[in-house]
Amino acid sequence: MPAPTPPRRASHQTLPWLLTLALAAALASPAAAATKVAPKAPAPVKTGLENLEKQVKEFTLANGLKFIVVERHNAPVFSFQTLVNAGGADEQVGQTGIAHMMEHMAFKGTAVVGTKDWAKEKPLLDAEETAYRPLLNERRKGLKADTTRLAVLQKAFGEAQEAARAEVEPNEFSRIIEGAGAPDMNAETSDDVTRYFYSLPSNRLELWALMEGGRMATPVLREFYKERDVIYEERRMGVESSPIGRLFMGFLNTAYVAHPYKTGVIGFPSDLKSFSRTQGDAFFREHYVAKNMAVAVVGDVTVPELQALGAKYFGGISDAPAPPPVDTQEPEQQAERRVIFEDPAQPMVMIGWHIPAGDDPRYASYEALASLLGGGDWARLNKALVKERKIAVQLQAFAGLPGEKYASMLGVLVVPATGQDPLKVEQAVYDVIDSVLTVSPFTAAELDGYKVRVRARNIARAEGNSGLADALTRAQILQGDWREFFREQERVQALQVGDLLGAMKRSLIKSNRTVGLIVNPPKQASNEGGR
Amino acid sequence: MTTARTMFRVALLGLLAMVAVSPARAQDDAKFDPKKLTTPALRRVQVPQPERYVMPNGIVVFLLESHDLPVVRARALFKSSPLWIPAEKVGLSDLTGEVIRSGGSAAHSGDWLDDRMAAIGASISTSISADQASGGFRCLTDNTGEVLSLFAEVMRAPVFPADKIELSKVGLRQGIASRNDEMIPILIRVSTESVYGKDNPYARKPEYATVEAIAQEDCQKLHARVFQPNRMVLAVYGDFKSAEMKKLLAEKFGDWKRGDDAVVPPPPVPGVAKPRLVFAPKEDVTQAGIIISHLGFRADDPDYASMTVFEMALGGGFQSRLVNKIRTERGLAYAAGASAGADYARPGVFMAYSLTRTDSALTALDLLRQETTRVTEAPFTDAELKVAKESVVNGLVFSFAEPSAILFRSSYFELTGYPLDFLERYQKALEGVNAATVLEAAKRKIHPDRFVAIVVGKEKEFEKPLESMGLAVERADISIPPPASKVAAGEASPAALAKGQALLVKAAGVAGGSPAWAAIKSVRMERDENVTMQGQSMAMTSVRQWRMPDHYVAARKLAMGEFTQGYDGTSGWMAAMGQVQDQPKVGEELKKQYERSLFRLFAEPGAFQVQALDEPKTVDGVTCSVALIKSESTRDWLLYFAPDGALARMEYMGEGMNGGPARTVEIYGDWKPVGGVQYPHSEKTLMDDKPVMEAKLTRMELNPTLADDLFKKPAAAK
Repeated sequence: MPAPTPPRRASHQTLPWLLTLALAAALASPAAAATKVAPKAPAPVKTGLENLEKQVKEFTLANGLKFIVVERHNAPVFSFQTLVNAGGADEQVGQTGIAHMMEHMAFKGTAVVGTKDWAKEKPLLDAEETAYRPLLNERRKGLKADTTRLAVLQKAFGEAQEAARAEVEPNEFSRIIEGAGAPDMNAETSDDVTRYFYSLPSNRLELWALMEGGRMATPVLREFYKERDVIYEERRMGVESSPIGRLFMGFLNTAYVAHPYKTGVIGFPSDLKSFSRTQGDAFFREHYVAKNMAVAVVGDVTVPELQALGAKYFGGISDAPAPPPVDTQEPEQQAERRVIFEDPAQPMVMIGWHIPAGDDPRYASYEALASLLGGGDWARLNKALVKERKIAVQLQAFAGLPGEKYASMLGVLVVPATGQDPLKVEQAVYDVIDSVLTVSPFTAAELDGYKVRVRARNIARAEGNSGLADALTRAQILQGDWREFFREQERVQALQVGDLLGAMKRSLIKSNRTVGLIVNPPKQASNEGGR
Repeated sequence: MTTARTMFRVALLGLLAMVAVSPARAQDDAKFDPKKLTTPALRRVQVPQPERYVMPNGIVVFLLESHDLPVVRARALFKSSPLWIPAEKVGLSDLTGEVIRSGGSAAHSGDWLDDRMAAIGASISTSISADQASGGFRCLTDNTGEVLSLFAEVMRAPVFPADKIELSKVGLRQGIASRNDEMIPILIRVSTESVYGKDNPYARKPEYATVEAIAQEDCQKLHARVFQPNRMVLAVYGDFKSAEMKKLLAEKFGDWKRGDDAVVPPPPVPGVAKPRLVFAPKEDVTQAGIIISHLGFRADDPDYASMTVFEMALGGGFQSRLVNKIRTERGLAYAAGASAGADYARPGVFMAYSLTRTDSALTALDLLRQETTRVTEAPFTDAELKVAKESVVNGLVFSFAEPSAILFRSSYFELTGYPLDFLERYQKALEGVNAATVLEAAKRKIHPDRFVAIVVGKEKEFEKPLESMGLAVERADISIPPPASKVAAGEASPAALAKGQALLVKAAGVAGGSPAWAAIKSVRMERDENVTMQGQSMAMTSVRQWRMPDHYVAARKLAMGEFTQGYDGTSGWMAAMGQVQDQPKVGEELKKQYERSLFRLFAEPGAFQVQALDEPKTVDGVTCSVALIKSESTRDWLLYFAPDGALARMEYMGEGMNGGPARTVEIYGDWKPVGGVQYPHSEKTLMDDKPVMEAKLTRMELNPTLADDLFKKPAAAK
C-alpha cells in the first residue's frame, strides 16, 4: 500500500507567514538579538560538588603515571578505571582494529597469569609468530600466491597456534578477577581512548594492583590470532548484521576523508585478517606508556596504601615519552556528502556537521547547541519532529561524534515514524535549524536550563564510584587535568545565546554536512507492512 | 624492563628493526603472582537500614537519607497484571505508562512538565510493564517540594490527552514496523513466544490493529486499576530530612483514597512447551543467534542459591563453561552465556545463548546443548565451581554497597512479597552450596528433554540443515501483519461524488459563477488584520498582490515595522527591518495555498474530486452540508456549505503556531461583490478551536497589472 501522506509544511495563505512575523519582535537578526542579552556578572558557580572536589587526591609515580584517588569509606568496595590515551584514531593504515585488539589482549594475562608453564609457552609463542610471517607474506601475493605453499604455511601456522595454546591457562585473568567478586569487569575502546574498569571488595586492593599493574606493564599477547577472530565476530554482530551499524560505519567512512576518525574502531575485514602480534606488540609499546595513561581509584581505599601499591606494581610501566598526537587534520569540507543505504529496514537519518575539537574554547557552545537542538523532550528538534509533527519517533543530537580529542562532528540521529519519507524528515531538521537562525533564536531561559542540567548531570556522574573514576580519568586524559571535570560548570555558565547561534552559523551549513540515510529500496512499496 | 618484551623481537612498521630488550628480572615475575597474596578479612561496615512505615491509605514508604550530594530520588511501585490488558488492545500498558507522564495532569500539561523538568535539571517518569507499574523522579535538593508535588499529581490524576495518546501510538507503530530490523530483538521475541506460547499474555506483542484499538478510556481504566495507594510501595532516597519528607508525603498522598479493586490475579504462567527447534529467518546478517530455553523458577525456591552458582559456572562471565567452550576454545562467538531462570514475581526463563558466525550456527547450537546437558549429568570441575562460587559470594558485597540500591531493593521485596532480609538469607544459603548441591539443583531445574531451541539467521548459509539437529523444526512466521487501510469517511460512491461536485458548483455559482472566477488572473487585496498569539493581540494592515499561480508578494505593516514576503516564480524571500533572507520553501507552500484558494476552487470546480459526506454538521447554529476534497498535493480537506449554498468554512490540517500540525478552520462571511464575483470580506481563522486571526477586506482590485519586478527579492537595506 502507498505510504500515507506525511504531514506537510504550512499551507494557509497568511498564517505561517504571520507566525514568522509575530516573532519579529526578536527578529532583525538572531545574532543581534542574542547580543542584547546582558552579559551576566560572573557569579561564583555553585556546583554541588565543592566537598567532593576537596576529597580528590593525586600522586604521580616516577615513570609519570598519574593516580587520582577519592576515599569513600561508606562501603567496603572500590572501583577503578585505567584510561589509556590511545584508541582507533591512533591506528596505522593496514592495522585498523588493533587498538581494540589490545583491549582484548589485556585480559590474556602476563608471564605469570594465564600460562601453564611460561618457560614452555614462551618459545612456542615465538614459533607461532615465526610461522605467521611467511603465511602473511604469501597471502600478500594475492592471486599470484602459490596455493600449495599457502596450504602448507597455513597448516604449519595452525599447528604452531595449537602448540602454543596447549600451554595457555585459559581465561585465568578473568577467573581471578571475577572470582574475587568483580561484578562489572570490562573494557571499552573508542576512537580516542581505551578504558579498563571493574570493582572489587576493598580487601582485594592489592590483588587489583598486582593484576592491573601486571597487565599494563608486562602483558603477554597470547591467543592473539584466535582473539582476532573473536573481534571479527564482534564486527559481524555490531556492523555487518545491524542496519544501524552499517549506516554508522558508512557515515563515518563518508564524513571523513583524511582523519583516522573515518575508519571507526572495529577495523576493516582485511586488516582483521592480516595484522600480526608483532604489530600489536609495537602498538602496545608505543601507546601503553605511563605518561599516556591515568588511573583513578574511588572507594574504600587510602592514599598511602595506593602509593605503596602503585610504586610496587605500576612502577614497571614504560617511562618513555607519550607518543605524539595524530598530525593529520581533516581538511575543510567543500560540499555536502551523502551516503544512502537502500535497505528494507526502517528508515534512519543521520546528519553530521564538522565542529572543532574538545579542547577548542568554542566546543562548549557545540555541546550546549546539541542539547538545545536535540538533547531530549525539551529540545527544538524533538519538539517539532517528535512531539508536534509526529514524523519521527526518536531524535538525538550530540557533539563529539565519534570522539572529542580531534576535530569531530555534531551529529543528529533521527528515527522517522512509520511511513514517513526520510528525505522529508531530513528536510524538517533543516527547517527547524533555519527557524532558530531566522525567527526564533534560542532564549536565555532555554540556555539557563541547559546550565542547570549540566550541573545535575555532573552530580549524577559523581554518585557512583565507577562513574566518578570515569569522569576524573577522562578529564585528566582528554583535558589534561582531572580538575576540569569540576570546572565544566564554570565554562558552561559563561555561555550566551549568541555563542550558540554563532556556532550554528559557522558549522550547521550544507557544505559542511554529511548525511547518511537508510531508505527502503524503490520496489519495497510499503515500509509499514510485513516483510 | 619487562618480561613480555623480552619475548618478542619487534618489527616496527614492517621494517625488521631489531630492538634490543633488557632481560627480565626474576623477582618481577614473582611479584606478579597472585597466588602469593594473602587476602585480609573484609572490613565489616554498618549496612544502612531504610525506615519503613505505612500511611493510613496503605502506601508503604521506605526512606533513606544521604547527604553526600544535593540530590533526591524516588520510586513508586505498583503491582499490575498482564491479564488486565485485553488481547485486542496489546500495547495498552506501554502506552498508558508513557502517557501518564507525557500527557500530564489537568493543572500541568506534559509539555509544560517537559520544559519545567528541563529547566531545573530534574526528571519524572512513569511506566507499566507486565507485572508492575512504576513512577519515579530525580531532582536537585532545592526542587524537592515542587517535583514531589508534580510527581504525585501526574501519578494520581493524569488526563491522557488525545495528542499524547497519538504520539505514543506513533512510537508503538514504529516499534512494530522496525521489530524485524535487528537480530537480537527477534531472537528474544521468538524465544519468548516459543516458550510461553504465542497467545500467553507475557508473549503477546502490539500489532497495528491492537494499537489502533486503544482508546482514552482504556488508559483511564487501566490507570485507575493499577495506580492505587493501597498497592503502592514508595521509596525515597537522598538529601532530605525524614521528618520533613514524611510531612510532604502526607500532604501530597495522604488524601488519596484507597481503591476497592485490591486483588491482583496470579501471573498467567503457561505449562511446558513442546521441545522443538524454532527457526526465524533473517537474511541481512552474517551472524546467527541461538538460544536454548525453557521455563524457570521463582527466586524463593530452595534451589535458588545453588542455581545462582550454577548460572555463574555455566554462563555468567568470561570464566564460565560456555564462554570457554564456544568463545575461548573455538573462537566461534563473541557472545555466549546463560541465565538460570530465576525471577521474583513469577518463574523466570532458563536460557543459554550464543551469537555466532552463520556458517557455524548449528555447531554452536550443538555445543550449547551438549554443555548444558552435561552440567545436569556430571558436576562442574572443582576449579569451575570454586571460581563461580567465589564470584557469587565475593560479589554479594556489592548488593550492600550502594545505600540507594539497598533502599530500592527493599521496596521491591515489599511489593513482591519477599522477606526484607531475603538477601541475608540467601547469603547464608550460599554457604552450603557445593558441587553436589549444584548438580542436584541442576537436575531439578534444567530439563534437556524440554529444551526449545531458537535459531535466527540466514538458513542457506548454515553449515548443515536444521532438520539434522534431531528436533522437530518449526519455521516461525515473523512477518508483520500490515495495518488496515485508512478508511475514508464513508464510501466514495458515484452518488456521493456527484453530490459533492454539485455542492461545489453551486457555491461557485452563488459567488458569481466559474467563468467570472476563471477570468481572475491577478489580484490585489488590502486588509485590516488582527492576530492573536499566546494571548497577545496584534493589529496590522496587509497588502497582498498575487499573479496566479506562482507570483506572490505580501507586505504587512504593524507598530514595530514592516514585513514582506514574496515569491517570484522560482525563489522565495523575506524582508524585515532592513534584513533580507532567502526562504526556499515558500514556493512549495504557495503551491498548496493556490490549490486551496477560492480562485482555484471556484474557477474550475470540476478539477476536484469532491465527496459529499452523509452527515450534515451544525456549526454556529447553522446546519451545513459537508464535503471532502481529496488532493494529490495537499492533505485532504473539508468544505462546509451553508443552506443557501455559499461556502461557509474550510477545515484542514495546517501548520500551527508552534510549528506542529493544527486543525485549521477558516470561516467566511460578509460576501460582497468585487468586479464580477462575490468575495468574502470577513475571514476568521481558528486553530485547534482557538481564534487566531480576524481579517477585514478593505480594498480589492481584480486583474491589476503586476510587473515582474514587484515579486523580486529586494536588495538588502543599507
